[in-house]
Amino acid sequence: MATVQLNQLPVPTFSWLGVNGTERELYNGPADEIAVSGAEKPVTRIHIAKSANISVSGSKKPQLIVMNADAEQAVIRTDVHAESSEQIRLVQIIRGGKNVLELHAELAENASLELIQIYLNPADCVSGAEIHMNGRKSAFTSNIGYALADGNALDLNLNIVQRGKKTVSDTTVRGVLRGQAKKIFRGSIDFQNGAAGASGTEQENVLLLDETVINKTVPVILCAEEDVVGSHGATIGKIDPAHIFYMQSRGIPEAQIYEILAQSQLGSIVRQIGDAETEQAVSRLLGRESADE
Amino acid sequence: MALLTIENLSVEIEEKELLHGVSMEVGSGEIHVLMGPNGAGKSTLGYTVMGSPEYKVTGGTIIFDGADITGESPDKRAKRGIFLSFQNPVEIPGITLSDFLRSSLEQITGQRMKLWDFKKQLKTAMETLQMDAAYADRDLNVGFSGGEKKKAEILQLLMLKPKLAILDETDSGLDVDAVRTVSAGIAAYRESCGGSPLIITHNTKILEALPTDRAHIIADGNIVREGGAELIAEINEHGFEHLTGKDTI
Amino acid sequence: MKQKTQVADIDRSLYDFRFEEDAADFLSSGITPEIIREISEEKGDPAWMLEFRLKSLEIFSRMKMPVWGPPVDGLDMRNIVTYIRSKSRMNTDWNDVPEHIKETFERLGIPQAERESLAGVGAQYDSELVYHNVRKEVAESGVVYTDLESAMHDPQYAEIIRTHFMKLVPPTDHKFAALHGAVWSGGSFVYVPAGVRLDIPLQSYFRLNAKGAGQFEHTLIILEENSDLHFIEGCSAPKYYEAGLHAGCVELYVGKGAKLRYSTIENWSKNMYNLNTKRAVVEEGGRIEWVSGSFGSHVSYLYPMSILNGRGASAEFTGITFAGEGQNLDTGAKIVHNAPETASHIDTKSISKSGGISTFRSAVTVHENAVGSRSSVSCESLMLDGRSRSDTLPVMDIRTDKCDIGHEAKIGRISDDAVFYLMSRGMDEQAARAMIVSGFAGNVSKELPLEYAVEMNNLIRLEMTGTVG
Repeated sequence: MATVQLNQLPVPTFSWLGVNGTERELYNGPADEIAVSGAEKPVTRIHIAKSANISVSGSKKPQLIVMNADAEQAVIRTDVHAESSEQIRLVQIIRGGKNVLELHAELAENASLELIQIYLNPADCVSGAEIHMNGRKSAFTSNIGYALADGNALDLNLNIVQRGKKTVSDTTVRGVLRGQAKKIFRGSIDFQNGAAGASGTEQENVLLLDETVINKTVPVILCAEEDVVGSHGATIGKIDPAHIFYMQSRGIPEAQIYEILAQSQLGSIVRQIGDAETEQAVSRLLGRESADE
Repeated sequence: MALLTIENLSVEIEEKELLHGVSMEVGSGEIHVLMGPNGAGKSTLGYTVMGSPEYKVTGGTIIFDGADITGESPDKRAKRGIFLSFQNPVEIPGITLSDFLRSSLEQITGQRMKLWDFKKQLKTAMETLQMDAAYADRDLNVGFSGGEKKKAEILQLLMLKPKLAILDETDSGLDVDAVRTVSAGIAAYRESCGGSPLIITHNTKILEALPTDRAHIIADGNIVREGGAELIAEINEHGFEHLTGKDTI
Repeated sequence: MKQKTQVADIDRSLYDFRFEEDAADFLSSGITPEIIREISEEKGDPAWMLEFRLKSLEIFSRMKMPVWGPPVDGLDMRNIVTYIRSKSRMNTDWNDVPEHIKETFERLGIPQAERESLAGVGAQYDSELVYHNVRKEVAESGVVYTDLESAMHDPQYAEIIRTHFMKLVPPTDHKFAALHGAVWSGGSFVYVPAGVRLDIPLQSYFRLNAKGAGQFEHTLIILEENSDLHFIEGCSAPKYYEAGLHAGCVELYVGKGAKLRYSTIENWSKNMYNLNTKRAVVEEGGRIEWVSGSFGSHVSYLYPMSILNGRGASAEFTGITFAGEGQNLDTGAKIVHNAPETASHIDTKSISKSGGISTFRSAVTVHENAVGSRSSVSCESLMLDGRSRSDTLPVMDIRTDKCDIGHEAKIGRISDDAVFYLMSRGMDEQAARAMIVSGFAGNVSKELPLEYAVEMNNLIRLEMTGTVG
């Protein structure tokens, strides 16, 4: 095992905050080589229980790839290539133990990638994604949800590099932290010079349910082009007391309100999956994760 | 000599031609109405006369007050006495309506009005339009409702006293009372300086209190009919359809 | 993680420190304990201060340069030594002032008298009158406003200085704080007794005398319970110094229920490395308000920090940064929520033009004990052309659930529609763009006293000249 630097912030900031990146001893056991092509069937489901190098290619037709990763200790690398006018919808459901995930995507002209990541209380997960929007009018949409409890840790990095003209990116992140959960999300939109007409937006919403949680949020915008529109937003905090009161007035006990709201926090992400079987499975898991306490 | 002469004007936006050789004249002191169905090119004509860089003139000329202004920048046209009341006025944070109007007046007249005189004039104009005086100190159009934005445009018209006032659907989205107020504002403008309004509208309500001299009907980027006030009555009765020969829904 | 070469290239050219090891060594060896002893002796420091300086020097030589932020390798460290040694350097002749600064003075309408006094900077800066006037008016209430050196020797304040000086910004904070601790000179000391509320602002004066004040000046302000002060830092004119480094330090102690507003419009000459450290600690129910405009400097590192230490303490930061040609301005704010029910609000605007780089950098930390705290951050950036750069790097570190934290950032350009609208009302394109930028900066100008707001708008107009082309 070798120690490697992971999830580096594209531009470092104040060192004392400890957000510039993380390091892990990288497990280097045998890895499966998997190739998935969206052209084959409308829904492709793969189960990842150990290290894997996965290559995903696009298709001109709508299709869905669902990755269910629950390895105990693994390095999972995903390479995504969407050629001209191809589209890819990739769903990653991540559970399990000490896993390192890397996603690298290249988008050509008019290509689109829709990424859905749902983290269901992984023990210690480092997950980094780099999206290279090279082609003109390429589009990237991501919906990321996480539910983290106990003493579990999640280190997320999403770096969207908008190089092509008129590229559009849209990222929504929603999460719930409870117990002694520890999470960091670094989300960067990087408008490169020449990306005229590009737009990028990112929003993170974090619900904190216990006073022992640690949440770090680093929403970065880098911009070297005049003709762009970029925005970032983050809201972090407790449940709105008005919501609690409203539900109590309808006879729901407080403990249950927390469960309902924690599940609803990720509900809108789960509904993006668009595959009933997967959606049901995730909802079931979400319910169970919450009930574990 | 006419105040505004448009000759054979062709205009495109993003390589799509919207006006195909339009000609029309507005005489000094007259009230003109430009009507037509949605997407006919009414606003295009207004924006082009004001000199919006978005609209590319591919043919023809615009003569104002004897000068060819076809290639002139919007600020120079404003100084010559052209005004456009925007359908969707932009919001500019950080600049108050009052400060903005004073800068604009200074640019157009070339002289800085005394603060006291300016405030007095502004107050009178706001009263004419039944605008709350507090709007003067609010950021330009920021957080104004649709109706307030339209009134703020007419307020500028009253203060700037242009020779030609192009009013681009100033009445759209307003309730009956507000239309009446705006109409009174236009009348006050005429009274104060004898300027010529060119009213772009779908609706004839706003024209009730304004004696129209001439009406122009535009469809598909061409002037299809011109005439006197009687044309308005005709449209009230039959709609545009019989004039353009097309279903306009 | 796989790095694309293009990303790596940009990162390196813009952000890496190319500060070689031997350069750092040189930097340390450039200033010796002997030089420090000399400075200290000339200033007649008390023994503890000499000790403090020597200890700071030791820390300085040990500490590494920061690994983030704009490059400072263009900074010629020999100048620091030269500057510290040769006091006569401050006797800059008006004729030696670079053309663009002279022009700025002319266009800002700085009165002839003031310009002449700048010409004789080493001899006298004509701020005595202001200073005495203010002192006369406020002295009766027990307010102290003097230079730090005098206060240090005044038996009444010596102990206060000793117990507060660089306690908030310790020399170990970063390399330039250590340098400051070693060579600091000049600056202000303000003490406002309990319950005293000043209606008019105090303005910092710059005694640019032969003692080498200015580049390492130290500002120490202490507000006792329920007092109120507005302090304005060197706003009236661009300051010009020979050497290219400014490493000042500002320490603000805001007592229970007290309120301090600290305003700065910075317009240093464009060859300056501005590595300034500003920090405030706020006790129960107290409030700190920062109003900050950054227009000058070649490179800036400036992130005023507010430490909210008492229940219900609050901080507000309102700032604007305008980075033009050749400028790399890295600015922002830091907030530490370290007590229950504390509140903070950051509102910043940044503008990049003609190849300028502006970076907004912030840190909002909410500690476990800061139950019931609130924070909101809003930053907006405007790109005026495609040669410039604007980065936004906020960090939130939240360690309690009972809080409400919000952040929003926006980046964009001046809309063509807005320019057309203004042009249709008679403004030429340049005036229209300048007006939009002034409006964009309205968050700061609304917070400033009128004369400073006017000055700031003049600065913006000046910076906007020639944008169109």
